[in-house]
Amino acid sequence: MKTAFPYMGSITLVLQPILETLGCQVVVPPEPTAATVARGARFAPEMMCLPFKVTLGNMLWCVEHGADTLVYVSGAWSCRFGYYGRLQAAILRDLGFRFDVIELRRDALRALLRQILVLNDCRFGRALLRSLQALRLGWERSTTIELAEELSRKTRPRVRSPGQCQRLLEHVYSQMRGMKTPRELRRMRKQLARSFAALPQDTRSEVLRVKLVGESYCTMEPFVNFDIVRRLGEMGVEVHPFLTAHRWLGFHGARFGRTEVLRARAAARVYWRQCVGGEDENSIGHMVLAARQGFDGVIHVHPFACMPSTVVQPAMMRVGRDCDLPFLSLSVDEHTAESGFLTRVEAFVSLLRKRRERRALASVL
Amino acid sequence: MPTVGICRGLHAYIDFDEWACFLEALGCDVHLSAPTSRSDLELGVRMAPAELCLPVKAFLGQVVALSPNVDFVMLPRVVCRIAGGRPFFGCPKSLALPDLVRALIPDIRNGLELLIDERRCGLRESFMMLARSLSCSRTKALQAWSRCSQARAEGVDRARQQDYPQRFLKGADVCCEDGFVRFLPRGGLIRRVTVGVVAHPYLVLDRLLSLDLIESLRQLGITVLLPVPATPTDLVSTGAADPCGGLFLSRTRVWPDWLYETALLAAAERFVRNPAVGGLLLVSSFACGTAAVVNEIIRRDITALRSLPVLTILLDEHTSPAGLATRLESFSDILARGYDRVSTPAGLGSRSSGC
Repeated sequence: MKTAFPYMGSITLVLQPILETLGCQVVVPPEPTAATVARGARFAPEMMCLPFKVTLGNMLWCVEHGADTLVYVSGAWSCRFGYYGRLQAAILRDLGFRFDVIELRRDALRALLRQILVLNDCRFGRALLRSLQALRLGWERSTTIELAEELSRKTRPRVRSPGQCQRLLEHVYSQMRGMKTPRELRRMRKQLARSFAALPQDTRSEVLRVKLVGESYCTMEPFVNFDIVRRLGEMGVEVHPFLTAHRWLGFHGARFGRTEVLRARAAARVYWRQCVGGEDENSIGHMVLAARQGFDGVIHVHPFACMPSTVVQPAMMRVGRDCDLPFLSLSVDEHTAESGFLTRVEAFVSLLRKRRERRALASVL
Repeated sequence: MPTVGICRGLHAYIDFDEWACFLEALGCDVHLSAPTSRSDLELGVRMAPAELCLPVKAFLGQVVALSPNVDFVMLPRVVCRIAGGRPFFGCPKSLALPDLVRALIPDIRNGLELLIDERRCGLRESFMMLARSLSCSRTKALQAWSRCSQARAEGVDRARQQDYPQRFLKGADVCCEDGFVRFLPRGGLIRRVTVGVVAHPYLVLDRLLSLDLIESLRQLGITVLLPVPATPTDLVSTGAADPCGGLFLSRTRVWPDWLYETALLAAAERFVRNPAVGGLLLVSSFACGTAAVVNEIIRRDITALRSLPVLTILLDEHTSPAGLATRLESFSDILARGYDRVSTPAGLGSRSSGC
């Protein structure tokens, strides 16, 4: 069985070893490029959101390279995300490809467990052992990535050369790809803080803190959001994304994230009473929490014409007004130009910097 | 008793009868807003985010126009309806409508929220909560509900089918048959062409939002068929669709979990199966997320049953009537010629189609 799943930021680095440990061969799609989007947009409905087009481009590459089982996270709900698997399968089948689809949804859990059993020659003990091994490896990788990314986000705006920080992060990723045991990963994790702390520091400029919220794919996939986390870091801004690979995969929720989700939901309650998907409630909740935690601003990235992100915008603007928190909403689609996107981000950062200077001056006077 | 205002946009096109029946039984005066005016739309467009769909923008304008004249403005939040044992969800805009209104019009104080979520509580309980918001006793609310149910059993559905287009499209001479509303051609030109329009009723029946699309088609000599607005519950009860693998779901590989889109797919399939229908018109608003999926299902799966011309029209506040008219004219020409080609024996040449 050659499985494939859509590329989504550093989640790929976690999902690949999980599936391999379970006994699948994995066809890993390359990082998305303009060509991926162009191919996806060619076959996708025109008015579909950008993540659909990018992931369709990914899956097209995968089925062309021999994938026979496509894995999608899916569900029945109001947001179009629930239809990705079904609609993409129909489009790819019409193009002449033959494959099976596994939808990861609550009501298809039994089918998934059966699939894992089949992969392990219907031997329950082996399937259970491999599942536990896969989960452990996934957990270790995910935790290591979470720590490395968190350190890079904190270090990048404070070092003399942000490029060095990026190179170190990429070095960590490439080393991690070769690591197959939890022990190696744990050892690496212990060294991470020291490695990032060793980079030459720049203490001259003041660091701004910005919360990144929005639709999950746009928050996590650097190609789609024009690597906004790195770019902001290079501008001297410490970015706190509300969602990371670790959190999205549920590892965060398994231990202590539940309280955070509940806290965000409670904070959003005044402005938003019904979750409609697309991380709407989380985005608002984290925005309110960001105001309480003294963040300088909030950036909201979402796909163009994303239904939940569009309806949630007015409520976010209201939070911004009520909490006196600068808020920038950016929508992206296949036609968004990098320069236009970054110009807006740069202008926002200048605004935040001036605002902080003005406040500092006011407090002195 | 208080006056309750119901905006003409969105859900009112489907659920107005039920709501009005219940509120009147409670003793309220029900006030249906006037047809969308240019100023309503401009107001909505000015306050809403650019990427919001046109009917929601119009709804926001209607709320602003209606709220000073009534005691309460109904703000429906239709989350989930159960039909045939399956849940059907509203689109995100439908789920978040009261929150959206509150965020954009902070000084609205007389919003009356009607929450319909049949996963949590039945329809009756939703209406009981509505009555509680109006400070009505439960006994009175139960009486109103039973009166409402009785009216429904006695044929509110039938009344809805027959009154419906007249109410929302004033002066239109139309006839209802078999779950469809038939708009006959108007004017001197009559073409033997019937077009099935697949569109949300709140878009296509609003003359301002749809740029009078149905009327334009009639003026072109075309007979227009429009599905009677229905929820999945209506479809199941009338036998038009069986959500557990019946009429259309067996044909489509991607089945919808959306409330009103199920009716659109059922209608599209019935149009395609009806040999009298010569073409399909898929009308949706720009940035309507559900339409992106539903139109694709129709294009891929439903039109595979029978090949017929399909025209997709996206409407927004910038759509010009001239551009729309040009597209409709060329579509009607294509249909008229196609009809002649099919109906004329080979070699006899084109027969006059009345153009």
